[in-house]
Amino acid sequence: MDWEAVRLSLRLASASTLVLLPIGLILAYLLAFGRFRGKAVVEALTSLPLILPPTVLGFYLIVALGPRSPIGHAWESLTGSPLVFSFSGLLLAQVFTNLPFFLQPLVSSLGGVDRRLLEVASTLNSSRSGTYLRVALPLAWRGLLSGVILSFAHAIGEFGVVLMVGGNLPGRTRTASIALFDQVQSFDMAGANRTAMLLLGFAFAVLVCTAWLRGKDPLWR
Amino acid sequence: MALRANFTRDFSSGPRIAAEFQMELNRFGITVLFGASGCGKTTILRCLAGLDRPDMGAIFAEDVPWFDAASGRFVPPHRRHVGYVFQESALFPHLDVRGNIAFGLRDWSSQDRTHRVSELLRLMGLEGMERRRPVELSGGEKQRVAMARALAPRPRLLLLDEPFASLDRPAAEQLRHELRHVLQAMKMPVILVTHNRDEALSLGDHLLLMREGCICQGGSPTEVFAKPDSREAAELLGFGTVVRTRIAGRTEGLLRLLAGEIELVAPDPGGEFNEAYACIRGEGVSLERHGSGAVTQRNRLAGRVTALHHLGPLVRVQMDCGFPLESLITSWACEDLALAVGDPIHALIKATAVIVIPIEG
Repeated sequence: MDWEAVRLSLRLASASTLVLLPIGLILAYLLAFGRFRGKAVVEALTSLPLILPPTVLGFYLIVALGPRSPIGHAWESLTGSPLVFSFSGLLLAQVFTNLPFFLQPLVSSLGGVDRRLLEVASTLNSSRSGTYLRVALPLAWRGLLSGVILSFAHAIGEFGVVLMVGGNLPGRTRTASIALFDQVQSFDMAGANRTAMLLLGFAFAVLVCTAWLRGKDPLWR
Repeated sequence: MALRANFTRDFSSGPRIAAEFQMELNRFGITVLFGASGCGKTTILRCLAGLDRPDMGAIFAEDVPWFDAASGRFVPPHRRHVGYVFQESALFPHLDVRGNIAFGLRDWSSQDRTHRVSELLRLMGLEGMERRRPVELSGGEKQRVAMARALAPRPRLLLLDEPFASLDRPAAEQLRHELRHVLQAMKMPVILVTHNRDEALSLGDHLLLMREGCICQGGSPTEVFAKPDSREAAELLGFGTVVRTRIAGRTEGLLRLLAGEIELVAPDPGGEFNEAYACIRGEGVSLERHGSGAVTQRNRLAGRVTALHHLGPLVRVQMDCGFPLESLITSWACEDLALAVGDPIHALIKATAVIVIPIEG
């Protein structure tokens, strides 16, 4: 078992979920309650990673983050190291890729919150952001928790984008799902099986959790 | 300090909602917006609270524009300091009673907040329920918490949208009675929306009558209920009989009216007119089985019972006396007279029970 890759996967998924949280909370607010022009565009952009082939996404991320792009250039002149093929680059890519997995359950939960409760809050001297934090989010906690779990789990499992943006550098960008790919490539079927079982068990546990959170029939009685 | 409102709100379906009125802030007084369901009462409250935005006009709280279509100014609800109580309490389900009441006190010091919450628990009769969740409360208790929550931050104006409609009758009457004292003690100006006549009469200091989106009459509740100034207002205010009549004669402050061939005597409101609506409350019409002769009532009409509607302790009797006439009697009286549909009957109406609304032109 490539424990280094597993540790990296966990570190990457935790970090990307943490970075995702504030960005996702703001976007979820705009998508659930905002009334502005171009809302459909924002909705489409944040859902894009759901249906786009990871290679397409990865390719454009390389272009956008590469040393010749403004972002990549600025990053390199600030930190002295390139953004692509690094942990930070992977983190950025992961945040974007996992956004829809965070947003979808949360936005749908927020949509189910009784509007009158939000109106009452506003008549009790509560600003819009205050009402969001004190009323809407606590009442949409299932969606919020589902979003955190799903985006974390998806970050663990992501393969295509990580390979494209991160390459395959042991200890730096080789995650568990990429280690599995390596193991198969080198005919280490026993090792591949162990890694695959670990990822399978994790994904299954996550889905049981979110199904239970949705209040649907849990898988046990 | 006065609140001055003069605005309109348009909807793609339904009539335009228009409001024009003034009321005093900084002192106790209950203004009742009275009208049938769907006439736009709630829209007016929502516009005052800032939950809805009018299309034209302005709302001023003294010199501060809460809304002004001309300058495009709009103060959001959380800066208006207006309390709002919905028909179905709308308590925060994730907070207990204490948390609900304290919701609007976020900027208060924790000592002041605790003190204020205890004060409201006491005023609204909710002591001992601090830790209960909204699901553990009865309808009446929920509405008490909703009122305590709205009153806690000391709003400048309290808006009540049919707050008793979801309660059973005893609970509603009890709360109504207590609420008036609490509001008076707090010197709270209030606007109450209702379609319940008892509520309008027992709570209101000032009454605004609403019909089809417009405020059509205003005044003290007893005055408005006694003297509607239009046929629609009369119907809204529960006059069971509204009939169009011609003036047949005037003598010594009395009018002789003709509803078809039937003569009615009524007090003369004065003024030039040839036609008028005669409006009669069901309570003002007594019934008699056999014509017994001399009575004090000026109007004595022979007719036939066409329908009986039982309303708990009361019975609404509909008759044909040459025009449709309605009487409201107790169910005991109905039994004593052994009334049945088709029976001949005499209706007795005092002249003073007939309200005359002149028809202009």
